[in-house]
Amino acid sequence: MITPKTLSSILDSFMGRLSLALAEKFDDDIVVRLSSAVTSINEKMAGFSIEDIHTVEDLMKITEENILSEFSLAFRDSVEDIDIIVAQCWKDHMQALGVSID
Amino acid sequence: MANERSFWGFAGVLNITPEQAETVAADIEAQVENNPRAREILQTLKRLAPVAGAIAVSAFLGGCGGGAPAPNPDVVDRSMTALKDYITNPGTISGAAGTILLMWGLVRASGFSIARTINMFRDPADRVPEGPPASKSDKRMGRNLAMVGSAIMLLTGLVNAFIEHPVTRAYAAREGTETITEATDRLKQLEATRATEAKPYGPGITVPPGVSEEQHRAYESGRAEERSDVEQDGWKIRRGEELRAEGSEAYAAAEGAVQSEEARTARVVSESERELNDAEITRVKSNIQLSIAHGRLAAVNNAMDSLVRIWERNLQAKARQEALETTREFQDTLAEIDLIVKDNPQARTHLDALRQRVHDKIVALEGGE
Repeated sequence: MITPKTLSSILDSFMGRLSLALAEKFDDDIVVRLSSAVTSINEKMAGFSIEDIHTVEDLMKITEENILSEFSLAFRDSVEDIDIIVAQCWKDHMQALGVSID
Repeated sequence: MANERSFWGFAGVLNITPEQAETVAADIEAQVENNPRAREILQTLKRLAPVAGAIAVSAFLGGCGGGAPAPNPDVVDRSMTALKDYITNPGTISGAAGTILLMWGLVRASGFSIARTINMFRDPADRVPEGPPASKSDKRMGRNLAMVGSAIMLLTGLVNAFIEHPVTRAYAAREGTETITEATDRLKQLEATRATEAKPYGPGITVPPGVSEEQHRAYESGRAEERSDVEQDGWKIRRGEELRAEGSEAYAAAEGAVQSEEARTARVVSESERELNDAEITRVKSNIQLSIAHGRLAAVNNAMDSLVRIWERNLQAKARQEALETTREFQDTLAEIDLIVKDNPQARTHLDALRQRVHDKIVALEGGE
């Protein structure tokens, strides 16, 4: 069975893969965009508790209002669809790990 | 338990070994190390607070299920079901119970009382936890608990590996899934059928009965090409099919955007470089349609705001009459966007405010300002 350490390693390397993809797709301003989004997200999430999530709707609402909206704002002028880049990265990552998500 | 439904790879993730994860992680780490910008991006992403990071990952994973922008309620629900399936699997419950008993038994057997153990968890820095030490009978009970826990874990492993527990079978029947034995039997049957139907045709080549070598080679060649196409574009094709199934113009626009190689490889053009022309208006309208279709209000409002900012910037370089014409045309564009967002009251309220700004500008320009 998977261990927390392995899961952490998978997620860390996924973040690395995502960073490589973003570095390839975007110009230097990507760091500024992301940095601004991350700062805003951390400000919004300060004081947030995982216990605030009771239903799937709660998860979606919190995700949309606090996280996705900031990423949307950061990538609003982009011709690249950030969701598609992330999804493709995850698919590539799973394939590299020998997992099919079909 | 052969509950192999791999929603966004969740079931598959559970089977990844530490070696697989470390190999891929080392490869990615080396690539990131050699790419300064990726390194910087990674450091920035890691600044996400742990809770926000966890939720962002959940949302990303949810979005990966159908290649659709996260969060997709259907995919989130399915992933929750997969998680529930895993947690309620008798093997998981039995294994977890055995582990807890073993750990607790070991704690008691080594002389920690309940009070001392709780204190230790409350304050891990406290090397000598307070509370009375465990009595002799406590230690004996702990040893027994550890033995029972070990036995349950061992039995769980044996049952899962060789027998398959009756509860697991009942669970599989209820959930409509296969047990490991059933899946293995089916695989063996398939292999046996294939071995019967296929006949050897040269070293290392088998073809179905009645197929010539030439036909076989053509088939293999075509299949290889097909495989290659699917590997490269399967994800896009699948996404396209899903989008087509929805049958709306917005989804068709999204499909076009996904499949356009030009769009996928294009670099970012900053807002300050954009002009209020047909191409830009079409792009923004398409974005709005897509965002409306996925209920992403923030993205809809951002797209409209962006267009208004471009209009305002473009006006600065124009004479009054030309600015008036541009603004009237822009008013028509906003009326077209109004048709797109008409069913979304919040987006419409936001658009009404923008339309009022444009209207005020026309009045001002007509008044000679």
